[in-house]
Amino acid sequence: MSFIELNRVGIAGLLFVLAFAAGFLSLLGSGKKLSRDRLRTIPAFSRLEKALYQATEGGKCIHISPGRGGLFNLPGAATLAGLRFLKGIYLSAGLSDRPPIVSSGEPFVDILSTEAVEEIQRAHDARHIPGEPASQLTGLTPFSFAGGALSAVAGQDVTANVFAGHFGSEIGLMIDAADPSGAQVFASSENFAAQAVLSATVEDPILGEELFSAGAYLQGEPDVLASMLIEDIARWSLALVILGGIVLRYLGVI
Amino acid sequence: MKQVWRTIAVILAISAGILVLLGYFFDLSAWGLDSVRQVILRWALILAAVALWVGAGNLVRVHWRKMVSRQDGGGYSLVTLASLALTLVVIVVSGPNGKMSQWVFNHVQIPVETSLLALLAIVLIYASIRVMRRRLNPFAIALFLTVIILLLGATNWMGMEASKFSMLREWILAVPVTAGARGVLLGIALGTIATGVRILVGFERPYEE
Repeated sequence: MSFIELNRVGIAGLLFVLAFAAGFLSLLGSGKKLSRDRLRTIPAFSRLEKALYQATEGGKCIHISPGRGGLFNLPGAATLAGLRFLKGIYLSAGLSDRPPIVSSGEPFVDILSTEAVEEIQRAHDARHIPGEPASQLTGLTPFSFAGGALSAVAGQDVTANVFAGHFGSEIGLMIDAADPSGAQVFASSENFAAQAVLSATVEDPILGEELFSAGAYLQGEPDVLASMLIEDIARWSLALVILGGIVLRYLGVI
Repeated sequence: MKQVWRTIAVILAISAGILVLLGYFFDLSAWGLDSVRQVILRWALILAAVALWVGAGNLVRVHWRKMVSRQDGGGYSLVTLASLALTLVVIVVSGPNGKMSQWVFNHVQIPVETSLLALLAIVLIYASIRVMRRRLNPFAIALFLTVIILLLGATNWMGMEASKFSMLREWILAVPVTAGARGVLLGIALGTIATGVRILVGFERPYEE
């Protein structure tokens, strides 16, 4: 690829990001009322809301893991999406007698999880067990992370396990550990290997871009709702460009 | 005062984000900004190393608490802490690339992780069957049949290659799997861009107290 081609691709990429940002800001600035009631139903989110309610009412707890992605490269976005899950769930179930258990497999994720949990606890004067860390770093390699998290996953009082963030195939071990206790599993990852495992082992996996929609489904946050709408427009536009390219290539134009 | 610091943090984060992003698209050295970008990226790496120590501290704290309060599995926590201390001593004495460090990595770390990977294969088959029993629908059946075809296509039977399955396997991998994977990848890429844009315009602030 020559420099000019590379620059063209770069500029096209930048224009795409700028168009995305412009659409997002203009939609938020337009004052258009965005509601999560108009979102399509994702079975996992409906079940998750019920599970959160049951955990709060039944004095049980939820185990949440934003994974082991860190903040660099593609896993970074999945990590941030996982932290949205964490905040949404903690706001719903964190104020009960049994606060959620949080585990992670990467230091940055651990620090951000701790910060998110402590912020909610401070803001809502929520109950927390003295001396108990807000988040547990269970291991620094994929399988040590999974192995260390097993005791939290299979805990007697855990009624649901939520895995949202960057995971690899080791997520299969954690999902399997949840089965004997009958705890429900909600899982999502941006990683292909993990998604393949989820498709085969979880009843309603949260796949692909659904990982990034937690803020909209759990809390109805306007910025996430707006970005989801722009994402849909971008997706259809890209699909049309791809199909147009196929037709033009077939006709010999390009 | 807190509000002022918060505003400064947001401005710094957004500026750093925009600068690093522009560096991917343009040559910033003409404006003398490339060195600033490199410094920011270097700081990120240093912070990652510091975070590793903070994380190790958390790991010790969690397992120490489990061990001292005699929780279930406290014995495993003792093993974890002892292993951590021993590995640390070996690496400090021998160096990160030293003979002893390599020995620990090759003879402890790799076998343990490989064993778990092997266990994962069995766990996945068992978990798949369990989910299929609960969720028997056309997608589950398609998944099951695809797995069977892919396995048959990748296996030699008593020295003979199952050529028809092999061809079918190649077609499945080249057409439906690639198409599906690209669709999923497109969705993830858009989700990633959306997250990045929300950070760059200051709506998502993971760094803010």
